Amino acid sequence: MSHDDKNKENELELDHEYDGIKELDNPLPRWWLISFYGAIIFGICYFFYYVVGGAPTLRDEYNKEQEVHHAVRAEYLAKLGAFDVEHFEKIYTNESVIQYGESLYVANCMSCHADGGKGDIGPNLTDRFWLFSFGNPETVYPFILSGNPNGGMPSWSDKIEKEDIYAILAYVLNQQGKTYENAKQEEGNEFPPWKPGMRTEDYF
Amino acid sequence: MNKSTIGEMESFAYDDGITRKFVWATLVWGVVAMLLGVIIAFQLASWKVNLGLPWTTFGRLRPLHTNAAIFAFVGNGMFAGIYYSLQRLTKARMFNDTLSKIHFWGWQLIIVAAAITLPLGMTAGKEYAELEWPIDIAIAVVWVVFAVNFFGTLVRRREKHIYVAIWFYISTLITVAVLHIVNSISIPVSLMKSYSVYAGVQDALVQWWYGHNAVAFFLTTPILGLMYYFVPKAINRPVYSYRLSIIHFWSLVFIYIWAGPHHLLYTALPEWAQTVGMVFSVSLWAPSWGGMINGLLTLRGAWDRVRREPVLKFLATAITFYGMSTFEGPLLSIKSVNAMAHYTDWIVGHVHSGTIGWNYMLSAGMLYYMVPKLWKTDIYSVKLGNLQYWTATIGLILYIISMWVAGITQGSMWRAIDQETGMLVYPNFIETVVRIVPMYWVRAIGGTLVLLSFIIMFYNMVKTMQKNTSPLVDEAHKAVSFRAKKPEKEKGHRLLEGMPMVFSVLALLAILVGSIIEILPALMSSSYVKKDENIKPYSALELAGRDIYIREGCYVCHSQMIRPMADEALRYGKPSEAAESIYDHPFQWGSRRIGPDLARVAGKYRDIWHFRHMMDPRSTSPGSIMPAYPWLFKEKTDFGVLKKKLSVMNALGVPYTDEEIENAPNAAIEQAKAITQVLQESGVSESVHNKQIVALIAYLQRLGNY
Repeated sequence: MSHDDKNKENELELDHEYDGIKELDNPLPRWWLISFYGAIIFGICYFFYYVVGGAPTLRDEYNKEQEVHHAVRAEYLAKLGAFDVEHFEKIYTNESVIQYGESLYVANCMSCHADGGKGDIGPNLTDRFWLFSFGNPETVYPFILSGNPNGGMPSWSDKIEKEDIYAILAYVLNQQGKTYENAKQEEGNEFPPWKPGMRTEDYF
Repeated sequence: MNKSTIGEMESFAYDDGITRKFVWATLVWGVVAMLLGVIIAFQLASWKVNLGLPWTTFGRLRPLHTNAAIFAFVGNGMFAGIYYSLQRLTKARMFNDTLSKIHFWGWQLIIVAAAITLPLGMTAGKEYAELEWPIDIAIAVVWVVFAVNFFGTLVRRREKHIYVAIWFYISTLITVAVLHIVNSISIPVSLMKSYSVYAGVQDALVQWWYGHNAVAFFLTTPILGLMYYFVPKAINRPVYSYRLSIIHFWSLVFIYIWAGPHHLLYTALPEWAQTVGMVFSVSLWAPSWGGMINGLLTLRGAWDRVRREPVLKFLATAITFYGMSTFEGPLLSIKSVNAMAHYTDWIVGHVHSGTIGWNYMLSAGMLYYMVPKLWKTDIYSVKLGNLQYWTATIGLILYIISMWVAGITQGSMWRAIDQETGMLVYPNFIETVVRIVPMYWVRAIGGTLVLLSFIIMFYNMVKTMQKNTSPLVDEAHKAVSFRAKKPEKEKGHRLLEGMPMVFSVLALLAILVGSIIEILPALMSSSYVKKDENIKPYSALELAGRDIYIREGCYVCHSQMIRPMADEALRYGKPSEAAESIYDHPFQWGSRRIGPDLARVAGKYRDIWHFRHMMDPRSTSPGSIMPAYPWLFKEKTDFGVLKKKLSVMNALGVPYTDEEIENAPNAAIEQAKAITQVLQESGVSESVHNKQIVALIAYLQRLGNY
């Protein structure tokens, strides 16, 4: 510390002393004061703008965000098209549809049907045995929609968009014939594997 | 009598014995608290470290870690520093040696009680306030003993004015008492079980008013007081600015108390309260930095010594981290930043830059200063001090950086929505957990380094103490009491500093303003929560399950509060409403998502899924880091106590009919049997119906289902 500093410090020294501790009377740093008052002024403005001034609330912002989001979803679903077997046959091998179906499967179905559909709490979806359908898209689709409370399958019609079930179905049917370690044993009746062109009446 | 004559020299001695006791407690509990932290850090990196035992699982040990770190380690350190400095700053021995001893032993007993009850699952289920009602009462009593001793000493002081360190001590004493008592009010069900009188959004508000101000008035203000004593003492230079002390003290205590709701941004708390929490948090930045400036600028001109001496090294680093975390805090409380960071590990990193960077470092500086003086010797090894310093600093940096990376990773993965499909990019929550497990390893290693550094200090301090061979007797001091001197004419704050009791009343008023304005509307106004007729109280079995949820500390990892955001709506369902938790005594909104939110988990999985998941989480959720809960399948549900539980809830305003209360055990058994019947279809034995797992499933299947 230079001499000048020392002298300046002596001038600033107050006659306070506590257990040898002295205090200087340095002024508050200007930048500190600016940030102190600045934050308070910001706070007051912010509060009045958002609480009194009618600025959008968090719920307003959420609703707006949801609107945009629903539009994105609607656009995508429109691209996927409505359920119909012939259309399904055209797109069910489409890699991006399968991938999208897989993400939905992971989020909604995997907790019971396990990884890849090898079955756990819910039945195995990779084999040719089916409990409540024939294993063809036309009969599996309505089963996913309405579920079967006695069999433990929940209804998904109010949880997943109908068109999304379409993508899940694409993923699941492409899992047919895959083998997994620790796959669940067969349950239900055996049906011939579904191929494009097969219709429900072909199973009788 | 002529007052102008110089008064009589009074002879007295400081009670350093009590300080030495608190020093020992700080060292011992510091090791315990940090060891617990390291254990739970490894539990997150590898679930096997939970050991499959009830009392060693994360959900029970994490509250023990936080309580030990805050109340045992920092608490004892704070008391050591206050007992040492208060006597010297007032030139008076502690008011009463017996009260000092009651304070010391009472506090240690409370810690031991916490260490026994928390692992046993006896918890009030509120973060940092987990201890059950008998211990809460003991805390209040011991705190009052401390307060009497403290204010008694102030009354007997020989120094007229109270120094800035004492202002901070006063504020701590008063505010912690108010916070602890108000937040802990509950009605007992049994000796070790109680229900908070507050529910849902009210409880959330009171809890975070408490929780945030535990940080403010237990981890910050007393430590600032210690800084104001030990920094100028250690560097032997005057405090930079007396004016800054005044302004930043009063603005800090006045503003801090309002900031609690920043823990509840985007929740069901009314938005005006959230906004108040945010703007006061932002305004806290400058008052906090006032303390940092005064600390760092007191050190200026002596940086060469800071490089050489462990005492100053620790103190300077502590102040620097204080500055960092008090900048990060306001930043995190800005709504849009909070949207990203809340529920993530970023918050955990932030907290530890405060507790390790500020509390541990300052305590270490204080101990390096105090222990040689208390044991009348020199420090055993400066080299070990330096080694400790670098080990702690590197450990802390690893900790903070890994938590930043983990937090920002989690936040971005949770929020990622595919712009083309409008679906979540990571629909499976597990993906977002697995991704950050490497960061959990880094954090655990960082934490281990911090623990090691503390053990080095433990050794260094014990060796220092052992260097002393002569008996430790309290030295005699002489001073003239200010009462024997001619009073000076004073005005403004200087006048106030000569009137500690008036000062204390003003400090109380400063914290009451914010407390009352923020909390009272929640407790008084019937329009605070929009009613929803569909929300019914929990069934007896669901309540039993809820108490298991609380006992196992599920709230430590799972939130029950869906925020109004598109990604949360996709992942968890529509945003949570305040009305949905009006019967939740205590609320279980949580503060962290190590696992997914559970507010609307009902019906998402079948009962058998939960059954298997609790037995072995990885059987249903591959990659999960959740501990297994095998004891829930063996321990029986206490149906008998449900009558009492419902009647206590009823007393708290939950509308159970007399018949429902009377019939609670039977109704619970019936519901348990119905659930078991469904489980039986999947091969589960009928004998589980009276086990705790069934009650827990009943509760989980109720969350969000009205």
